[in-house]
This record gives sequence, C-alpha cells and structure tokens, in this order.
Amino acid sequence: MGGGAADHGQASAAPPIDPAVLEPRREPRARLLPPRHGLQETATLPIPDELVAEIFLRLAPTDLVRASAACASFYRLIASRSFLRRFRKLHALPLLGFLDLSGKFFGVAPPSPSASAARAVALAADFSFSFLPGPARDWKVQDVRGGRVLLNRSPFDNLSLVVCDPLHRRYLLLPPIPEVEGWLPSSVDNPPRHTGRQALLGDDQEAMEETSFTVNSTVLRGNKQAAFVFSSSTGQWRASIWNAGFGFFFRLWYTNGCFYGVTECRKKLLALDTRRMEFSLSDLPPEAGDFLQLDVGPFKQCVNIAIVEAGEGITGMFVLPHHTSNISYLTRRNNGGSSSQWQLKKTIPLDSSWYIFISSTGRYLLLLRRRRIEAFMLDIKTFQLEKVFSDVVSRYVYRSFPPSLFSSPTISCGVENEAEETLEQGCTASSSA
Amino acid sequence: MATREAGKKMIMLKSPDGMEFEVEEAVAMESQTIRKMIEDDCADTAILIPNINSKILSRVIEYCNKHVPTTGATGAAASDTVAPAALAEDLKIWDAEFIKVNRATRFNLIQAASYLNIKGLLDLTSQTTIDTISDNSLEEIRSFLSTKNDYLPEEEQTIRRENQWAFQ
Repeated sequence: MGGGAADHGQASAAPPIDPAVLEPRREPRARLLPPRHGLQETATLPIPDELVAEIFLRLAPTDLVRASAACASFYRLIASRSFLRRFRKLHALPLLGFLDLSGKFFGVAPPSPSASAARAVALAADFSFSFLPGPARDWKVQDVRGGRVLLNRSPFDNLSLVVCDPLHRRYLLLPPIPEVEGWLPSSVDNPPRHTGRQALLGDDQEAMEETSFTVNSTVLRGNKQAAFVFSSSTGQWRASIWNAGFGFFFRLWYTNGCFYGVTECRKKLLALDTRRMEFSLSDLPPEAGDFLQLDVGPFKQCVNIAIVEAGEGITGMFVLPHHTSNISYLTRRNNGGSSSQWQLKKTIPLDSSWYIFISSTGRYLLLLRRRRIEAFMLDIKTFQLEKVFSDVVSRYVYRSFPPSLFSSPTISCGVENEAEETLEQGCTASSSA
Repeated sequence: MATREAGKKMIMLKSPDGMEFEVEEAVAMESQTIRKMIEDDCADTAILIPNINSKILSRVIEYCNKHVPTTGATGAAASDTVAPAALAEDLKIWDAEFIKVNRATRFNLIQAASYLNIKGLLDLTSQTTIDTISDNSLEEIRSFLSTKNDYLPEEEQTIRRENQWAFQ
C-alpha cells in the first residue's frame, strides 16, 4: 500500500476518517491473507466495483479523470464502454467554448470550471480544419453539436456539406442532396434558388452508436420547400416536400428527432419528424403570438423564441417578448405525430429587458445581455442564469467532453487525416484504441 | 395531527438478521425499489430487504422518515407556517448531522441507497467521496478509497500527460 505516510496531514481537507478503519496497517495484515485476488480484504473495505461506479458516476468530468489516475482498476472501470455510456447519459456535455463562422475556437476562461478542459481542447483539436478536403478557408460553419461541426462550402449552388470532429480530425463528406420527384429540374428558365438553405446537426435517435448523427437540411427551390435528412447510419438522404405554398421558414431548431421552424406568414410552428419524414403545422402558444409583429428583419423577430429538449419526449420552448424582462417557458408532449398543447411551466424574471436569445442546444438556452455584453446559459434543469466566461460568444456552441479519457471519436466512418474522399462502410473505429 | 395518523398504511420491512421495522408506506416508498414492489403488488405483508443489516436499515428508515414529503413524521418542523427555504435549511443541517458516521457505515449506506434506489441518500452519502476526489492528492484519494497505485510508472506518466488539464 505504501500509503501510510500520506494518511496524516489530510485532516484539514477531508472530513475526519474513522481511526478504527485506518489504524490497522495493511502490510502485516496482507501477509496473513491468501493472495489478494482470492479473498476480499474486508477490514480495509475494498469497495465493490458497482459501488465505486455508483460514486464515480456522480463526479464532475475533471474529477473522474483524476480518479482514473489513482489506480489501474479504477481506470479500467471508468474507461469501460458501459460506464462511459452511463456517465454521458447522466452528465450534460460541458460548455467549452464557441466557434465563429470560420471555425475559430474561443474557449471559456477562468473562473469557469471548464477553463482548463477548454484549453486542452484548443490544443488538441484542429479548428483550422486543415484535415478537410480542399482549401480549409472555403468551409464555413453551419452548426455545432456535441463535438461535431457541420460545415458547408460555397459557392452556393454546388454546395458541399461535411461533418467533422475537430478533436479527432475525422470527417464525413456528405453525398449531394438528391433531386426528388416533383422537384422542378433546374434549367435556364428555372435556375435553382437555394435561398435560405439551412442545415442542422441532429442525433440519430434510433441508432445506439455514439457515432451516429443526422443532418437536417431545408432547401427552397422554385416555390417548393423540401426537407432532407441525412443519416450517418445509412449514408443516405431522405426527402420530404412541403407544398403548402408559404415562404421559407426562418431559424431552425432541432430537438427530440424533430426539427422546427417558425413560418414566415402564418405565425405557426412547422415541425418535421425526421423519423417519419412528416411535416406538421401547429399553433404557436399565445405567449409567442405577437413576436412576429414586432420589429423587422428575421433575426430580430426570431431571437425571442427558442426550442429546447426537455427530455422524456417533451419539447420545451422559451419565449421572450421584445422589450420585456420575463421569459416564459412552455412545454409540450410529443405524441408521435400529433402533439398536445403548449403549457406554460415557468416564468423566469430577468433584471432588465436587455436580453436576447442567441441559440439553444439540448436543454440549454444561450442569452446575451446587451449593453453590458454578458452572456448567460439557462438550463431547464435549474432555470438559473449562469454566466458564461468567454470573450467571444456565438450561436455555435461547442460542448464536448474533454480529451482524452472520454472522447471517443464522434464520427466513425470518416477519413482520418487526409486523402481519400469517399467513405467506406465498416471501416474500423480508431487506430489509436 | 392526530387525525392524520388514522388513515396511514403501514408496511413491514425485514432485515436479513431478523429485525422487523414497521414504517408508513409513504416513507418506504422513498425507495424506488420498494415503491416498485408495492406498485406491482409484490408486498402484501412484509418485504425482506436482503444484504442490508438492521443497523443500516434503521438508519435508512430514519433518513426516509425525515425526507418523506409533507408528513414530517419525526419533526415538528414540517408545519405549514414554515417557509420552504427554512425547511430546506433544516433538512440540510439534519443531513449533515446524519452523515457524521464512520467510513464503514458510510459505505454501507451508499450500498443500501444504491440497492434501494434512494437518490437523495445516495447523493448525500457519495458526497464526501466526491469531495475527497476533487480536493485531495492522488495519494489521499487512494488511501480514502482503499486502493493502491498499481500502475507501472510509465503508464501513470502517460495517463497524467494525456489528461494533464485535469491535474492543473
């Protein structure tokens, strides 16, 4: 054990340890016992693995890494797939920083508890995207979700989309969005109008693999609005055309396998269920009713509404009417296709009317307080505003477990580093494992 | 108060060393494991709680008694006039007192809380360990968790290097 010398001197930091437990020295006793692996040493309480796991599940990521360095058996327990899966389920990904449009990373700074993890990510990851095909500067960030970054490459009509994992330098170049039936073929008379094309990353909820994801894209061409969903499991796009004849919807959110947009002229919430590829249109709650009439310009109109994941098949919505200082939080249960009514769950008072919504990811809402330029996260678990310590904030929020213990690649079949462009199904996960 | 006593349903919990504890159903249902047994109708007369001796079980019941919502079985504190904040403060103080036990008992309590699925108790009992891990050196963590450093020196170096940020 050799820990005898260290047993003292910790009294101030740790709560007093029952002397009866520490007193009997391990060394002499160990000799009396059969070999260590045969019998449990009950006197000094080796804690059963399940119990250790139960405690370790409650640790913050940093502390978990420290615990893993204590001994090899702890490491094995923590690094096991089953433990990490449980841990990831219980813990939200820590907020490590923000990306700008070109992908530059701005990590959170002290006193944020994730500051050192953010520094580690900044060092370990390649946010210049030099591992992507073509000139890296052509790629523009479209969305960020759980360690993955979705980028597109202009020019617009020959659009390429790529999903990459900057920490593991892997990427998946998506196949072109297909032509679909009922889609007017592009011609001289009918040039493709890709105005307002948007794409978002999502989770592949049916796949159990942690490397599965979806990309959800809406495209307007002619007078047709279509949604496309790419699944990393199938490597294919699926399409759904929306013919209702209203214009484009601005600002999209992805949550619980659906992606949402607010329609321009109807003040309705349009949802696409990415599993059934079905659109549905529903009323916005009265709290959000008048947000469209205020101001001009889509950005200003939209900042006051955000969709979040409330867990257990419940979708949450934050609404902040302009020039007010109360955020309403509403939820709605998703019953397959048909959804129930929005219900007001909470009102969160702010200290002024200077707040705007920047973005929402998972269960978090990112807000900016204008004037003083401070950013805050609002977590639907606590409804507390938590200050974000970062010089730069953007809607591209980078949340990830830091390297290296937890961070298995988030893309499985991508090409590591350079060269080969196409993706082979079934290529192995990691060469370093 | 007396009127409330009337309609309470009682449940018998038995420890493997033969002790029996009669507790209110609501108190027993603080344990999700027991709740499930009751809801599934597997608990007619008495529930045997395996692996948890009477000493630990009585402490678990003590905890559940204190934490069961609204009834306030043991304390006079749970009256309508007490503000929720004050009540929470009172509970915190009580918890701090409750957890002043030796290490063996604490780990037994963790085990019981884990088996019986009592989230609050599990959080409370694991907290010291969590604090120890965040506040102390690796050597102290090892000593607290009764383990020893069985890494090869170079393995330990690698782990520390790869996860350097966690040790800053």
